[in-house]
Amino acid sequence: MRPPSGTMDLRLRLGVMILLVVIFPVAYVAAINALLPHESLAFQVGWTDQNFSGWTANASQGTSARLSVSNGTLSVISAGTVTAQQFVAADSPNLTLIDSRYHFLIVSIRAPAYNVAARIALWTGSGGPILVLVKTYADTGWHTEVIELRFFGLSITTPLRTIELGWLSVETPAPVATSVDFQGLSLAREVGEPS
Amino acid sequence: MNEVGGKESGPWWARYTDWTRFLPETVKDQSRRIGKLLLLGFALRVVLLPIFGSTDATTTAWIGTVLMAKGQLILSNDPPPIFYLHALIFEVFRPIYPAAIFNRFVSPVAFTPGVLFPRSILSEPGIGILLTLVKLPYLAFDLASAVLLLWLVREPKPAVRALKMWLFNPIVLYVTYFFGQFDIVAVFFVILAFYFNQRGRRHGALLSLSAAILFKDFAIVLVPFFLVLYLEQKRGLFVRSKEFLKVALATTVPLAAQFLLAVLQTPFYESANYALTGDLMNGFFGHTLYNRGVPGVPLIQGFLTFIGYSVKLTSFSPIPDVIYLFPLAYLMLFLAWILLRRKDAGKLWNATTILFLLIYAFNLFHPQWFLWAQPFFIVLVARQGKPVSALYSGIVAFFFAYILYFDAIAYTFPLTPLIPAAEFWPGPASVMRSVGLPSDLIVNLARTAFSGLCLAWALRLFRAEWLPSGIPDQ
Repeated sequence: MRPPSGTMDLRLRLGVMILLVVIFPVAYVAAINALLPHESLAFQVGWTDQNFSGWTANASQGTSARLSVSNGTLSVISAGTVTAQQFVAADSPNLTLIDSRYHFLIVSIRAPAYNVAARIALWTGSGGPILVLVKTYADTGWHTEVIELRFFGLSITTPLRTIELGWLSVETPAPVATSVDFQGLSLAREVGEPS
Repeated sequence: MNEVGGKESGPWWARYTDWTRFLPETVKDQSRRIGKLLLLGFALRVVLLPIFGSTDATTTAWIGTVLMAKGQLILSNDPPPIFYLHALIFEVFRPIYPAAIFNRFVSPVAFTPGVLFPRSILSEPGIGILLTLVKLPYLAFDLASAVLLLWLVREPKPAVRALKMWLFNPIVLYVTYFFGQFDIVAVFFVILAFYFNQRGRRHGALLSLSAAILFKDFAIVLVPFFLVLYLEQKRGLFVRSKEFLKVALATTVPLAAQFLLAVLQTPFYESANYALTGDLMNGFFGHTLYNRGVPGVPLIQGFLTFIGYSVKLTSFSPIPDVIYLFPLAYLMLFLAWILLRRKDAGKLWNATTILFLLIYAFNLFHPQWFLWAQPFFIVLVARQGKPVSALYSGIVAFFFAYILYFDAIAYTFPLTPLIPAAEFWPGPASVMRSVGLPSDLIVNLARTAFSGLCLAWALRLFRAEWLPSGIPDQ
């Protein structure tokens, strides 16, 4: 015969319920979190260009650009009005010695307004430029972009030759002396990824 | 211990220890068995909470976190209310929110293609806690759905069978705890709507349908069926008009709420990469909002995507004449529903099951969408037993072949929180391709079989409700 249900019985029942529904699950989640090895996303840099020496200005027909480098920041500045879909840019020197295992292009960008879109194009030595980034930003702070180059068809057989960092105007023309800044350009691979 | 009127009464909190008050009278005598099943189901879910999660789960977490931390709403195809629920839970558990993930969610680092961002979050320190926080409301709605099935199925044996099937259902576990999708919230409200409808509580049913639509728009497709049922049960133009207005209100209020939230909340300026096309271009470019490569309002784009996912028939003439199969089937089913005599809650259940079967047979669908129909399938299998259970098992098996379309997203990425190296593993379809197997052909054949089984079940239900059963016995 079972004992009549009393306060002790109820307390025991409540205790068991709390144990099963709250304490065990919390302990389990805490243990899993502590025991499973996880590491924050990190990149191993294989190539970087901090001083942008040898980079040359490039622009669409009908406009022009000038470059300025200061404290590791490359500024691409319009020397004339840049109308919609025109671009101004800086082209890197030839990059034939880059190890294609470093398939992430990482760069920080600072743009002045909604009507100016940062633009990154790549050249592989065959065919035309491959556009990998055309973006506008809501503020004038730095934005870091991590671009997977394999997604755009770059590989050991089609390696990177030239990087073009620049910008184009969107919706309304950008006036003379509009500038977009780039810094921390690197090619990297994710730490822990299989080679 | 107090004694009142000769009756023993326990302490004030005693009633909270009696979980059996959540059970209907019909199954109270089986409370021990049900308790064990619920506990086992709960334990299984707890085990899955921190160790699995897809890129969809981390995207949901990102939107909820940005809403909590910055008060800005990232405009996506999913209705905003679910992100408010997540933001609220994140706020409550802010002290244990993993710092590394929080910093990444609010940092100005963007990835191209965008899927790299949620994928990389899956291997961050603290992912187990984040996934637990994300799935916490799902766990509540999931277990509530399980108990609701006991109330919905009135016969004791099938009711417990339905409970068992729900608690250990591979689709429920896969979608909610492996994939980490929030469809369970809307599914709970859909079941609740049918429960209220069965009990003749129309306002409860309409309110529940509204709540379902608020969290996921798919529930709209059920509304016309409820409307016809209600109109048929009323007489007189005025009374019918009033009924129509109630149903219309129940549909438009959640949609209006979604729209208002999207308009009134400060949007997060997610920069779209104009160099990408199609599904990969999402967010703002200049002042224009893009959704899957097209300028437009995300909620409308979501609806158009659903139609665009339908299988279609095209003519070979210069005039591009297109017939969408799912809208066609929906219209035919709806007309058949209008013409059906003596409609009731049971028939509505069957008609809704047919509707879901037609969606899966004729539409491309995301893995989580398959959860919508599970309560309907489970109740029918629990009630009807063998032949239907074999059909259902076949459908579930082919579903897991169908989602090979989504490759790593559906199979290997969700393993990343448990095995970080899985982030770099190829999906099963990629493996098949790499060993020379025709993966597309295999998946397409499995998909065809899946659609075939769905149509076979739909036909069986249709025959039972609408068609005479052949030559009557002499």
